[in-house]
Amino acid sequence: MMLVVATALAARPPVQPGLDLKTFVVGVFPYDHVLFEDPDCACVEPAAQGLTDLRLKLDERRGRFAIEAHHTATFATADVDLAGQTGVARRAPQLVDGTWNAVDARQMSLAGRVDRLNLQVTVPHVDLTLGRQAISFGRAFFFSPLDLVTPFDPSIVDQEYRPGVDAARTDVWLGTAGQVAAVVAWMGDPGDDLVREHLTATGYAQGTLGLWDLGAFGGLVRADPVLGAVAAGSAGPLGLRSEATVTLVDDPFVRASAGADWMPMPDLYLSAELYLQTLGADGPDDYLTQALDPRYVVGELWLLGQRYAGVSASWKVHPLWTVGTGAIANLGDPSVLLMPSIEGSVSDEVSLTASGFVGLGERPPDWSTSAPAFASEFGSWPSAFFLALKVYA
Amino acid sequence: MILLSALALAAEADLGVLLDKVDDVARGGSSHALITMAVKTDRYERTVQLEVWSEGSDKSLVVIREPAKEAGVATLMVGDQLWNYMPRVDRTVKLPAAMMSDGWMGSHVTNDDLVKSSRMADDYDAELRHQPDATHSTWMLSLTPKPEAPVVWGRLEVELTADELPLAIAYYDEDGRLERTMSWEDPRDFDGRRVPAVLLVKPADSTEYTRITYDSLAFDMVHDPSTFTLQALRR
Repeated sequence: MMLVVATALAARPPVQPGLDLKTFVVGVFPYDHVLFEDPDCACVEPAAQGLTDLRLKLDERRGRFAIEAHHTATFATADVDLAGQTGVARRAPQLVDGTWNAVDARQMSLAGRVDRLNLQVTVPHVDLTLGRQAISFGRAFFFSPLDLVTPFDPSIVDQEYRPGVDAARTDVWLGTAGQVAAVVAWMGDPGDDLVREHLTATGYAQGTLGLWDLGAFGGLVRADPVLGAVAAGSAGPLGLRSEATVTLVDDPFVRASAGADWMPMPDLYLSAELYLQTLGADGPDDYLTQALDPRYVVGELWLLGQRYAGVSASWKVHPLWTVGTGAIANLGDPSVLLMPSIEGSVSDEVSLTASGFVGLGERPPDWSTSAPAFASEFGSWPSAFFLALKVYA
Repeated sequence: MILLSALALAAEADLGVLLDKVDDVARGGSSHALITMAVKTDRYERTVQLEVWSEGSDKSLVVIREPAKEAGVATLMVGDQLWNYMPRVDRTVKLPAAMMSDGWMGSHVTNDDLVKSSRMADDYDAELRHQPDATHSTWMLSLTPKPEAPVVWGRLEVELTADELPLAIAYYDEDGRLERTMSWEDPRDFDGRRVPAVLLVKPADSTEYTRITYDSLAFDMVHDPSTFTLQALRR
């Protein structure tokens, strides 16, 4: 007998409040260079920092309404701030100040943030979401030109949560995979004037053709017109994806990436990506100037050159342990950032990760005898290693 | 002669019905299930709780509810299309269907075992070994792949109870070696239908297993039209 049941989605059990507790130990080992010999700088010698990050989560759906509320609190030791190396406690621009600092001493700090606080209303074919939320349109793994609202830097350890931004979002859903989305997001600081330079207003439309998802993107990103496109699909055993944007300023520039994923055997996952950004510096001599460009200062861009490749291999050597290696190469220098890692599942709710970043390439010249400059992008990176214990409840 | 052929066709059709009953044991035209999947290997044990919606043989939505580390990760399959959604980074990933054909989440079951998008009656020729009678208490069918069928097994032995509930499937490779067994236990009433509540998958010559327990199961409901869309995947 055919039973008519109220929507299955409404029948879902509500998600219980949860928390993530993550502890990181970060060690940075500068190489021997005048760059790190400033006697007033804590970067002279190897440095370490302990970080504990607590995230309280409430994700609740009741019928047509859903609320997502995440609050984070981060405790950090030491008088060097290496949190940026990990991505721990990353903050996005915020319209309403949701941060607090309980302790801000030289040897320790305790600070927090409302990272997610949004209300979603669902009506047939439409989701309306208002408040602090994660926003992503990109499909790429390493280099994602479409992630202009909260760009994700792959050279960080803690990529588990994309920081929430204050935004209003509307998604209209058509058929299985058709989507039209409009987002207005705040990109300034609390108290900034409500001007176009502090706003991002974007539209995104997606449909499916055969086995491919095809999308188009357009909008104003901090007052700059941006157009983009994305394609994701498969060919045989390969997952394929590509995305590109063109920023239509006085001197227009293009960012484009293309990549593939492959599982040649059940325990091995391979991924590769190529990336082009025409705005990048022509060579190492221009890197310092490039890094001072406002797009880098606000985090819209983080790679200094023009042509890159990224590869990663993830091998499940044991059902509970995964060994991985990632690498991002600047094809112009050339230089490479190696990112080895090993991650283990201690239990269903606890994992342990050890990873590192090792920059390979020509080190910077002696700045005491020449003008400050870099010889290669990743050759200028000090080595950094991390240990992370993560508990989920 | 004509009569014999007609009888043979009728028997073939009946065997197809039996195979459909195995394929549809936990699915029906549409279904909604809460599942606990316990995996035991020589080196580890884990338990995962899943919520599964399905419609027909080509639409399914699977959401991980436990453990907390992976809660909310969802997989949508519509025909040959497969998407994965990771809510923490608000990212939808399109996957080749081939990526879901191996052991799912470290278990001994494939995505197809879970959502049953393939049909044994379509992929295999069935031969009746025995039926319930004075000497046998069960149905036993032997299946060999059809020439162009996209299957990896060389032969299946399918056993059903006298009242046509699935009991076990033995999977043999092309050399005739037993590779794994799938068995059903603990028949219960779900939504007015008698269904085995436990599915046990065991590799041959091993103490490892994956036990899937249906904590709740409902059939033949009318799903919300958005259930098998990217909109539902993101929720």
